[in-house]
Amino acid sequence: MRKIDNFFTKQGCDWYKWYHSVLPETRDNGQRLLTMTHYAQPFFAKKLKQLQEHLPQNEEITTVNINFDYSAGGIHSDGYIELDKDDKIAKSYLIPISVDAIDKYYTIIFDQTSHRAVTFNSALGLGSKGITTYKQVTREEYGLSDTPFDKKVYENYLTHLDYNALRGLTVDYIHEWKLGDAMIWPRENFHVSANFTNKNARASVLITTRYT
Amino acid sequence: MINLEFENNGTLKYNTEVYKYGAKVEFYGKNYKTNTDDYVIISNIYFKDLILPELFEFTTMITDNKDYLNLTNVNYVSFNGIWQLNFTEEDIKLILEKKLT
Repeated sequence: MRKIDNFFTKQGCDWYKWYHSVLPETRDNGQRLLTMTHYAQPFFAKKLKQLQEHLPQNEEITTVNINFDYSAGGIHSDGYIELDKDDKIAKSYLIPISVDAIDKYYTIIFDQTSHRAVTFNSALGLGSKGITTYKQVTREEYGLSDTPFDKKVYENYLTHLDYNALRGLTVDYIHEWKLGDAMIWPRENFHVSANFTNKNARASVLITTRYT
Repeated sequence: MINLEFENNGTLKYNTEVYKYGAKVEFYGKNYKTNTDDYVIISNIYFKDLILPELFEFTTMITDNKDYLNLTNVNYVSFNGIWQLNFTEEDIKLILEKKLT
């Protein structure tokens, strides 16, 4: 399953934007404003139940964050971190809650995987922006080949990155953002945001799960 | 926007009106001679699906009992009267801040 249509209604999208506006803490990680939803708190129980009802019965939510992106990010996997290293990691669900009427947004999913949460941000020239809790790895550490990356995909989506740094990566799927529709991929798969123009319009809810 | 959950233990009746940042509940029908022990508990207040019992601090009640004419912070209702909740978006922010920091 690659997507779930109408995961959120328009009203549901607006709810998360409102919720972001009343929470006390938002972090700026250099690419996005990130707000944790505190999904495990008792006061969030009804919303958590609503989210869980959209998911397969053998998956349990481990993260719910609200992101307001102002810059395209680097390549990373949403695998395990030290805190949840014993989890059977499952899926990432990315649900747009705000999109631009003209600008299109995409998320690129690669075939390559890492069960541990890692990022190539530094290797891609993005420094420590974006991912702060994932281990930074280099192409050499991960063992990427020197096979040139798909030039057409690069020119259409990934011009914010160094073309040569993408050698060895191959594309599994390209998701187009649609308001309220969940884009789904295995947490271990590397993925990246495509470049985008309007830096003020885009927001999403990211849910990660583990198998029960 | 606002949902109230009730546990009714007896014959008290109630009518509920909800607003964007408030609610009003009229409790009536209690006979103090025959049903002395009847009461209603307002067990939960939901605002936009968030369970926020802190909102009880923003409640008042005017009753028909002269000794308990004006009450505050009310979740236990044993008199006929008008229960009211009024708050602001800023109050919601402060409640969440207190819970999370």
